[in-house]
Amino acid sequence: MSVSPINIFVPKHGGKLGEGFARHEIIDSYAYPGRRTKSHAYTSPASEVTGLADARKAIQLCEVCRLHFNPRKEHYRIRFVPSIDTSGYTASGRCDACLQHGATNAIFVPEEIWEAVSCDPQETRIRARMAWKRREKLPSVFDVLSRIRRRIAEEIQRRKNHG
Amino acid sequence: MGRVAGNLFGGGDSSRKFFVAASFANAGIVAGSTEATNEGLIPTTTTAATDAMGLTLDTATYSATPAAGATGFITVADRPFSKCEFVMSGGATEGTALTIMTETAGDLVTPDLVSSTNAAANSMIGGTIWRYPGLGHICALRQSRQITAHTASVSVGVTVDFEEAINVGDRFLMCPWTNLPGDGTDTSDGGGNLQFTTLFTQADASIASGTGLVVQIYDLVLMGESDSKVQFVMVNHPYFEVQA
Repeated sequence: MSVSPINIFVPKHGGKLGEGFARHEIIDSYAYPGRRTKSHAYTSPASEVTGLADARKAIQLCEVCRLHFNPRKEHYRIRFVPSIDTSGYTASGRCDACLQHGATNAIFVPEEIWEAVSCDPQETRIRARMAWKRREKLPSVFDVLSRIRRRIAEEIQRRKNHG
Repeated sequence: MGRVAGNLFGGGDSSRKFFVAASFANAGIVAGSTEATNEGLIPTTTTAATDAMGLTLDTATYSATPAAGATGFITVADRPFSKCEFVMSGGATEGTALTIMTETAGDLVTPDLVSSTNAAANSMIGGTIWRYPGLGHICALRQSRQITAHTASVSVGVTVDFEEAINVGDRFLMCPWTNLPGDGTDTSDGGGNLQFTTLFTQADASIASGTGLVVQIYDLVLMGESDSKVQFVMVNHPYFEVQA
């Protein structure tokens, strides 16, 4: 005779069911599970991404799945967030296609809301370039001054030589 | 609309998708949660952001009776300590320009006092006043001061003089926030509160200092009347909470 096991679910910190969960645990339960991977309700990665694009949702893709997605065709752009130690285009999270977690993913957002939710990389580059030019400008000014000083010294020497 | 302008600790951003318990009409607003709505994320209100997860990256429609496969969900940039950047609005309605104050008396006293009938109606002691640099131009740091005295529709005072004299006709802008650490006192601390506009897409710069939802102001991008921005860090994030 076999006895089927009985599972008894007890809340973590005592109390009634549903109580005793941390805020982040409750909010984690709201997380969208992603595409369906069971055999009886299967959604392919391509179908999932196409569905997200049709609904104009943000799409996060890993480096591999990104190769199969044409953002220009779907009118999507990569979201940019200024960062001191990354390119600004990378993001961490779960790939919407392969469901793998990664730290070098990219978030694609619809073009019509890109300006609202993404920083402008061109503006960031212009600021960085201007800062670089300002740093380069100083030595060039000093170069001009040193050239003038050298010309004056040469002129003084020439006058001395010619009496 | 709000956007993430980096993170206090560097690195890239992150995002997750969550089910919603209310519709999100606009992208770039703060998504949060309350115990009363235990079914998903909801937009924060203009003055409260409980369990603020982050800024939304798209829109979503909520339905209590969704069709199969049509449950609303939204993408949220959920990384803690993100620097959220919102455009300043001169009123509760989006797109309202900040009121330009034009000096009417000249540099008469020390410390400086900016006299203008356009001084804000709400007390902005603890906020910031800066010289109007023009649209699209960033105000130099030395052209801004923390507000230490304020009389509605009359004048705005500072403790440290501006470097240049204030002449009749000089123009200034003011906001209720500061990136300096405050003393924690309501009504005189512009570093710890912020209020959103009606659609939650901009920051209402017409409010009194020390009012609105609790955040930590990180930086101010002091520009013209319609392109100045405020950056803040949310302190009531589900993954951490700052205790007073």
